[in-house]
Amino acid sequence: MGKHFAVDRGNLYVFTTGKDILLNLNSFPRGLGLFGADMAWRVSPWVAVVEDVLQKQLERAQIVLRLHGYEKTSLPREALEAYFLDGNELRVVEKVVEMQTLLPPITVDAGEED
Amino acid sequence: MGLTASYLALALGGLYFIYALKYYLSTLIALNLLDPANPVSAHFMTAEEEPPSGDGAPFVSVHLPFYNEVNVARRVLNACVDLDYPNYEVLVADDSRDQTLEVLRDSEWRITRPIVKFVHRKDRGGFKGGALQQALRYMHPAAEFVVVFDADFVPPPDIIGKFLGVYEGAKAGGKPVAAVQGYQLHYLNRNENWLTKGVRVEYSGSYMVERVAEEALGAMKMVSGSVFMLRADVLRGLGWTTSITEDWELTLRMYLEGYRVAYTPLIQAPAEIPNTVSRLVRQRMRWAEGHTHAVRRYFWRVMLSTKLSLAEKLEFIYFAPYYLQSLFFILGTACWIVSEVYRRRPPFWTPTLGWGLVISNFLAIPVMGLAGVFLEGDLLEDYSGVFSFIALSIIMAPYQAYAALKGLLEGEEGTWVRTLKTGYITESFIGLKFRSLFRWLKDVGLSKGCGETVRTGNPPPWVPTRRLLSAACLFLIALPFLDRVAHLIGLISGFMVPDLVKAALRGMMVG
Repeated sequence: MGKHFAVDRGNLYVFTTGKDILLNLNSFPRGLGLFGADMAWRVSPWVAVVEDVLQKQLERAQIVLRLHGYEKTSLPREALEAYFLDGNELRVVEKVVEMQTLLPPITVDAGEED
Repeated sequence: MGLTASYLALALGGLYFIYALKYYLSTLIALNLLDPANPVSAHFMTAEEEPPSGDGAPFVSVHLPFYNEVNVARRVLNACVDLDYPNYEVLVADDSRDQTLEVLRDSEWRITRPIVKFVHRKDRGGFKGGALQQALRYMHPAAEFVVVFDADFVPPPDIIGKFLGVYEGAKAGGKPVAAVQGYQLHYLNRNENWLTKGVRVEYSGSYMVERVAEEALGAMKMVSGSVFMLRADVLRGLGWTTSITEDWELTLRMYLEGYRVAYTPLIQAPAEIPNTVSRLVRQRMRWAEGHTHAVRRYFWRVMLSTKLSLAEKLEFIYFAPYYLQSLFFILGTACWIVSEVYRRRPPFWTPTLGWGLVISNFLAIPVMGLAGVFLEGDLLEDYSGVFSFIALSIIMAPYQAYAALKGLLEGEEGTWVRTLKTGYITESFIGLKFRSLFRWLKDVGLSKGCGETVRTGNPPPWVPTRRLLSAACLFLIALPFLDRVAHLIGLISGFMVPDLVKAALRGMMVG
């Protein structure tokens, strides 16, 4: 279904839905310190949360995430926290779908007519 | 000086004798209850209902507090993801600073069943209680029960079902049950050195004898840090505190709310034993300090509460100076030696009373330990641990006493000093999936499908060990008073025998 990440009030949420598997946490460079001893973080089979991420860390993390096919979404923190707790992806999927419908449709220029 | 020492010796010896009496009576109760010949035992120990399964199985959250557990983290995680229960999650509350984090970052935990969650904190605020509170915050909302294991434990596959079965059975009688405590089987490295042998016997006495008696008498029982199951609603309501003995404080708060803790030796999870004196000393000092500090804070609330029964309050009074009892014994014995040197004694003092108190007090806990390993079927293998345990008690006494006094007098608790787990195992039963541990259950007719393991660690059946241990308990209880008893018999016979003799002689003459 999807690989997503979101940033809310300094927390980075990385999550998957459907049959997608969360990326290996070692994919992030060690120097970034995201899942190290000095950060508060949480992982479930569907959501990884890092708290109080610095802007610099966030920028580099986004590069890694995009390289692994993760898309940025802006879901409410409450929905993501609830997803972490119970793994019920329905409410997250609904929100993702809502977000996607709110985005302007992508149009493809058909080019000149013959 | 001699007279003062003798009075002091008598007071301290008498005080410790109250503890000794409890240990002897507990031993008698456990030997009687866990006896296949006793029909009451089956009723007492098989309050176990069939555990719920399938769709009716309540959601259980298994909490594992970690702090630098690199030697054992993978072992306990592997055991926990392999539990034979359909509806549960594993939640690691981690404060590690070492390579334990490598284990947690491993992707394998995110593709297994059940759900495995890791919650890492960047500091150790609140120590273990703080970590468990964090686990409580992030556990599955549907969780009805919480099961806690320390990182050095290896829970057997059927443990959740057993917890639920015992909980269902215990619910039936008395106050509402908030927790079920199982047996912390400190066993994995029991043959590592003299120390581990001694601690093995100590735990056996505590969990196979003392707590069994407490359960039988309806006394207060502790939730003891690991191998216990709590009702999630109760835990959500009370929460964990940041005490260095968070388990003891939770116990007191549960009892103050009108709940009780059920204990069963039928649920066992093997664990490591601290393998150096310094590690053990640090662990016990933390227990002594935190325990006494909590006693000080809760003493009057517990004593004045209407929600605790008399038996629970009596047990609390017994618990209160628990970590000072070794000091009582050592000081009492020292005073007695001084009084012997000066040959000054109270008028009612007799050598039998003095020696009797020393011997009876000295042997109380070792006899309880022996009874414990006997009931587990390990007497022949583990009896030598009693000698280590005696030595250990003497080594520990001043440290425990110092820490207990610190807890009693200081305003703030000290810091949590962790006990290093090495991951070292000396026993080879892992491959048997712990079934052989339950052989003693089979012998007392309590096992359910535990296999055909034959008891090998106890004396042959023609040695009446159970009776010998029971007789030893009765003799040691009576020992300090033997001369009084003899004197009483003498007095009675002084009145009775001449009459009888006279009557006999008269009869002969008449005849």
